[in-house]
Amino acid sequence: MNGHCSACGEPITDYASPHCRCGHFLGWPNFRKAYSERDVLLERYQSATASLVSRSLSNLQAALEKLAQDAVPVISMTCEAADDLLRSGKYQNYHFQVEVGRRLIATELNHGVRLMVNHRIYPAYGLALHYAVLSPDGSGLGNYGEVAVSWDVTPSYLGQRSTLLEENEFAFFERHGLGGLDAAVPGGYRATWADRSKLAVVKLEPEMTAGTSVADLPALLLAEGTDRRHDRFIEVVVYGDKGIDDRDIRQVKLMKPITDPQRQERWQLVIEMCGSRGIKVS
Amino acid sequence: MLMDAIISGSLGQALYRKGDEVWVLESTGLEPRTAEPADLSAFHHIAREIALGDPAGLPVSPDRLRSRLDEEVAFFQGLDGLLVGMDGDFSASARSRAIRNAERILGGDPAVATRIRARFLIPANSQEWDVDGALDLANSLGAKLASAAYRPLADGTVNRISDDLAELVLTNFGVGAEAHARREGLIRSGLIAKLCGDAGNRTALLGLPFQTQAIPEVDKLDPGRKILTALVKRLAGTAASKNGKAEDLTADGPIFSAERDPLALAIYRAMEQFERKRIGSRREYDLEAIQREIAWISDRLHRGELGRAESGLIHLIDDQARRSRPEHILKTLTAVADRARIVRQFDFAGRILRAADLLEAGDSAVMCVRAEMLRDLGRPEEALTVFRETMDRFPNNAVAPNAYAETLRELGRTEEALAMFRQTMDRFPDNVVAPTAYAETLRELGRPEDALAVLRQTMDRFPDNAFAPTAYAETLRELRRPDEALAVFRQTMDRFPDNAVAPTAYAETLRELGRTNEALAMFRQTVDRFPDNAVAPNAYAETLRELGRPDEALAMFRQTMDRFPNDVVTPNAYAETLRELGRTDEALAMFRQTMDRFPNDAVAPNAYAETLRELGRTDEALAMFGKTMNRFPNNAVTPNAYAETLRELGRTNEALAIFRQTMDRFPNDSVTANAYAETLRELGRTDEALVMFQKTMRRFPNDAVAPNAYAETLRELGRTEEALAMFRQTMDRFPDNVVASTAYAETLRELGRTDEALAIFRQTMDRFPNDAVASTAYAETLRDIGRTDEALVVFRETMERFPGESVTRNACAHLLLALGNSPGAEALLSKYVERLEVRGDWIALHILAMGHLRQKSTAIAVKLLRRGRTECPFRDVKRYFNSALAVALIMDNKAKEALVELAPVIADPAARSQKVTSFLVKAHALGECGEAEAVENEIYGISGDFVLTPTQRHLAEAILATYVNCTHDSRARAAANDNIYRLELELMAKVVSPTTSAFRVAA
Repeated sequence: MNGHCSACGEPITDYASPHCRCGHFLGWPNFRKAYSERDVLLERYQSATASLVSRSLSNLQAALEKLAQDAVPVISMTCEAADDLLRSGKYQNYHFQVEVGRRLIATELNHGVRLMVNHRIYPAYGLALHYAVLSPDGSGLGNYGEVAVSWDVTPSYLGQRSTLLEENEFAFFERHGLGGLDAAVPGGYRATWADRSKLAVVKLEPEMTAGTSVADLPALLLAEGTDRRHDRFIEVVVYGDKGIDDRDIRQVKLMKPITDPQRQERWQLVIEMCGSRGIKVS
Repeated sequence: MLMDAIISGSLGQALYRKGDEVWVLESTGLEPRTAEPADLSAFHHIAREIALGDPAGLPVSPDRLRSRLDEEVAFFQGLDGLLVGMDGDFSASARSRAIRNAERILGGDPAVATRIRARFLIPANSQEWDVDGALDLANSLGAKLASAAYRPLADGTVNRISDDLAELVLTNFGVGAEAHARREGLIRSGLIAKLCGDAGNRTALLGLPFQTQAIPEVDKLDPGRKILTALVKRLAGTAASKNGKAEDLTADGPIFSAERDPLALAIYRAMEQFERKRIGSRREYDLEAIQREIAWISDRLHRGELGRAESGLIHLIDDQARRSRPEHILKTLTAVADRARIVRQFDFAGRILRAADLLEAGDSAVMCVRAEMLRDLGRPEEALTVFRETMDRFPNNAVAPNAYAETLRELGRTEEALAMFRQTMDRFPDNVVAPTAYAETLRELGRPEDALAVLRQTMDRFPDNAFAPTAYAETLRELRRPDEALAVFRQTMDRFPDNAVAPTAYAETLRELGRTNEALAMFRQTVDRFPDNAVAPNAYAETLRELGRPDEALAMFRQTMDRFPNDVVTPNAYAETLRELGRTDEALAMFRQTMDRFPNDAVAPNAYAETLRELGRTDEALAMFGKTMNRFPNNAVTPNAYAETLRELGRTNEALAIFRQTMDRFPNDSVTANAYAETLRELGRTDEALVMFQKTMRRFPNDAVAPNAYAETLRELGRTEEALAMFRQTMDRFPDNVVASTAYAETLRELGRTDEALAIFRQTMDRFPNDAVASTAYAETLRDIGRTDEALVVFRETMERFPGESVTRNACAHLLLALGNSPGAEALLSKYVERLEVRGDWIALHILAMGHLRQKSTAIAVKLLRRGRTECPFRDVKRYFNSALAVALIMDNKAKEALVELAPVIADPAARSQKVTSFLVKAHALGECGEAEAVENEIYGISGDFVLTPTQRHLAEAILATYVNCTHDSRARAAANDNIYRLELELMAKVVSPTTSAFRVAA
């Protein structure tokens, strides 16, 4: 994350800001962080490739890279959140949040243990992030809500805002013992969007064996557990300090049937809204 | 308590901090879970609506957060429903469903509906809204509330006001960010919605500039309320033009010239005065003098002298305007309005509250009085809304949540009430009202031990408050722990020597324990110690009355009335005593006088009507009850008495309907529920009655009437063992209920288990030394098993102890009669009858008549029975008189008249238990008329239809022998007469006995 601004030469010290003090765009903080660890990631990737080659699993590696390359970020959410998301641009006059509420979240609520994890991994900009999973087929994780919303990743928007972490940040936090005062976050476990397939290989290399088939790979990449802690996925984080733009939504998928009439009504509105905007619903 | 709680109605979630964790609560009812960054992200970036868990940003309890979440979800759904309804991007079916949903929510919680309207009625943004389409859809769906919400948008009112607002902001604040912020702020404050809402109500519209609380943000955004006033003038001008009254509202004219209310004018004068005083100095004012004035006004209100009260209040407002501050006038207005409310001068109270609104609309005390008034007017749901609004707007006000909980309690929503009291206790730990009311509710719910625990805590927390220890002692008393109760009362008396409640309750407890002399002494002391307290002298007089010393009681009541001319309890108790003494004319006059003197008291008109009813003037009684019901819609006693009267008149189905309505209106009233079940029982719908009693038992676990009545019904149905078990259970549950143990013993007696019955009666007599019923029943049981001498001894002892107790006297006379000692019975009763002191004691008349019948003084017997039937107000019992009268007439050789008397009994479908005797008497009468064939038919008909008791069988045989087989053999005829007399005595035993259902109906 160190370096100098290419416009004014000023040393970059504010890792949480996307801009230099001169106003030059430095890149989104999560992107810059992931990019700063790229060398370590590549080392791990080479090591994983060597291992797979030695075990004659190169065909699986190729298939996995293709799978990850074609995967999309998916955010699982409740149908209420999906409705809010799809209509966030409408009715501006009628919707305004309680400013004091926002402030309270930004300050007081950050004391929460779970949010401490978030801050350890994404210091000072965690609250600007949106959490998605890398999904091979547009499915999501039902433990986060019954609706899976997937995005097209365009270079001008998500391509430069999205980065990946090898696993759920809590599992990552625990696995690497990041709770200590002096604990440092190890490098090479996150990737820019462009390097997603490399991260997938690095992560899944130990799990691929001679008994693994190509058909098994999607489930290695994304699998829903009995609860949130047991979900398996590569986490995608999207920087969006004013929310996530819904223009690039590709598909909305209902993962579980909705039985409550009020919620069904919200889901119907989602379907209609997707219809009018040309978003695929499945 | 939960910290930093925020809610998103659109996501249906709340976030809050608990300890060092952030948690998520969902409207789906799932258990809260710890939050993850994704949850925060959804709140930050996706949620369309976010509100604070507590409007003031304070910590909230879990229950409160849950209820706030529900509110916010409803708010969002309502608002979004209206928006989708006019969003052309959605299909017609989706829009229709959305409008229906919005309609449902707008028709629900009024506070939520108001918020929705305030948010919805703002100028439309650049979005292309299809408002006309929405209006058409709403109209076609019959969604009136949604339609009303769309209309101001469709007819351009919103945009007109918005344009005016923009113009006025431009004029007053120019252009720029600040002006823009003011305009936006005023729109968001709900100003446009308020103006749209009041546009049709000119008075409300004109009052708006004076109501700061109606739009709380207004002062911040519109200093001096220039914009608001100008908007109101424009809108009112438009409205007036439509009505052809524009001349009243010229732009610079006095905006309130249309207001003619002298109270409102006084307020305007005061406001002008305050305005002028800003530059001058303020003189000190005398708070005590103001309180004296308020007391004087209250007294006028109490007397119904509204004109004087009003002029006094105006004088006081004018005076306070010169000497004090607006908030003090507000306090005066609130105090007087509350007093007017208490004495049920609702119109006057309403005017005062409206005047208070002019000064400071939405003041918390004013809102509370308004809500209380709604409660008094029998509109508890609206009261709840106002209390809720007060709580939301004034989170630091402890009165509203307590009153809110009280209202819930009144509505029978006791669990919610408990939760609310609990919340209030948490929120206001220094408030003593909430925990005591909480304990009171627990006590009502049959959880006296919990109540005791709460009261104990309250006593520790508020050692200087006398209410908690008194309530604690009362609960102990209820739990039949009188010694402990007495000890706590004693301590309270020592700790709070100036408190009159504890010594009075102490004396009451002594009285309950049969320690009447000590009780009297204590009452006497309390009367002397607290000469300004009216409760003790009344209780003292009541005790005298109970002890059969009515003359002393009357004298004491009289004294108390002179001492406390404004106390309404005493004249009512005085009149009641007169009524008991049979001095009904005087009682009626006294009740009438009390009604005139205290027009806001519901006891006197009810008692007046009751007395009329007792006198058989049922039409007048019904009319009086009807009037009282209209005057006091919040009083459950009147409709019950009305229904009871209908029931007596045989209009049982009407009575049932009234009881049903009353139950719906007063779900907390166990008397109504029991009366309803009793009526079902009377109609022979015993299964339903049993179900109803069971429901009542569950609903009112502290009420002993329902289980007793339930057991009684079982007993009537011949399910004696079950009845016995139920009475036993009730005795254990309510050890201080004398009815259960007496009925238990009585059932044992019926089952022939006389030894056990005697033992239980004996125990009951020891346990309830002040109750004459048990000892009377004890004597009757002795009589049943032939121990008549002992029975007579017990009767005499009881009569000595309870000289005013007609039940014992009558039972004793009945025994004497059965023993053939008619003169003895007559001697016992006649002096009471002659002195007319037992007017209304129709049982005594019945016994006397039977005595005369035994002595062949049939004409006198007929006369007494006719009188008894007239004086007896109970339809059930009147039938016994009919039957006895028929027997007397037969013996008086007037068989045809006897048949006439019997006809209504035989025709009455409810008189099943008396049918056999009536048929037998009818057969006897027919025989006397020489219709042998008819006699034979009757007798064989009766034998086929009923299982006859031995006495009935003997009578049937005697009648057959006399009129069919032996054709008027004189010995057979004498035997028939003798048998029929015995049968009547048997029947009469049912009326006389204090433990049979016939007596209880009467009692």
